[in-house]
Amino acid sequence: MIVRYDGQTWCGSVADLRSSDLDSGDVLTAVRGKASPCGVHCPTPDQFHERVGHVHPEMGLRIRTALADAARSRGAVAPQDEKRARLRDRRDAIDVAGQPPRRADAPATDVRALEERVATLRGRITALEECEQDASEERAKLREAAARLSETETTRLAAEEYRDQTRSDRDRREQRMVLDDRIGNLERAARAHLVDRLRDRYERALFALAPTADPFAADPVFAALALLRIGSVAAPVVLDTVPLASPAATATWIEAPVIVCGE
Amino acid sequence: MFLVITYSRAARRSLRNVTRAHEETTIRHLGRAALLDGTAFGAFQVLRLQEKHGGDVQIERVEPFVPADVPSDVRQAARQYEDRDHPSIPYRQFASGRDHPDPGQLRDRTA
Repeated sequence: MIVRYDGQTWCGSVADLRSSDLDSGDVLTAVRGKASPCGVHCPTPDQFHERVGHVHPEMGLRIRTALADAARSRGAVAPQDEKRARLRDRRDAIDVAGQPPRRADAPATDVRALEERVATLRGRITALEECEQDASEERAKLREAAARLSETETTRLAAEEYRDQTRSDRDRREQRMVLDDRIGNLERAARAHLVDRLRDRYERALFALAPTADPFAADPVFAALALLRIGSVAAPVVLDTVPLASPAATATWIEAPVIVCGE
Repeated sequence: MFLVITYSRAARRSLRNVTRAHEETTIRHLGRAALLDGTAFGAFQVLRLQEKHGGDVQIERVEPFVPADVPSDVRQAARQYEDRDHPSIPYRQFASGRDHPDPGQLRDRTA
């Protein structure tokens, strides 16, 4: 690992940036290969690193999920993987983008209100004509209202057509959702399998740090360190806190490079 | 009433949130579908779901059903067929000897 910032360079398994003004967010961005004020030269982080690569007291950590990722980081596979990959291919092949473009917006005026207005105007014209009075103003209003009514009805008709066209699209969405559910079930089963395989090792690692902690409700910092110890991570772990005696001791314990940032 | 059917896990989750938050508007929640009140508030909620999830949300307006709304010969046919002596007799055959509409006629008529 090589870290460069502000004319300084850190090499090796520990980069202690606590005396600089860099915050851990910027460092993490650099580790993930995105534009940042500092430069970090390191292997590309994987999914496991996404979960536990930034250790800080407020970190949200789903321990079971991270434990499964720790197993994967060591190359473990689950019996469900193959089928899941197959279903995912099928799911991704379902095309729902081919649907007709989004419907035109619903008409701003309610059809019913316009119909009533047209009927009222018609009645008024008839009444005026019966009394032989001038109805030209009402007739102009009627023409305008009738035109708007017809326009509104056309829009409504288009909405109905759109609706009919989306029916076959729904069949595909239905299939996609069925597959999503099956994939979700397989993912859960795979996770449970992987968690089972690493559970003992995780509990032992956590016990060394926090002997009284409940393994699946432990302080996230300790849980993350225990996970990092049993998993394999190549990209540097960013620490906002130094949980063990020193940054170097932490790096040794988790067997991964660390970058320590000021709090 | 509005019938809402969802077609993705995310849309299904949103629907569940809506029916949980508005029990008074929810008539029935059935997994990935729900029946909501035909009030403007019900409409507001179903439209919100559609705005959020687009084609993954299907909305239908449905009416309460009472058997008296459908033609009486259809009701009678249903009642008498379910009361038949020989369970294995198909409806087509059952209808042909009696004064009941045959399946083809039933399909062509709107109830």
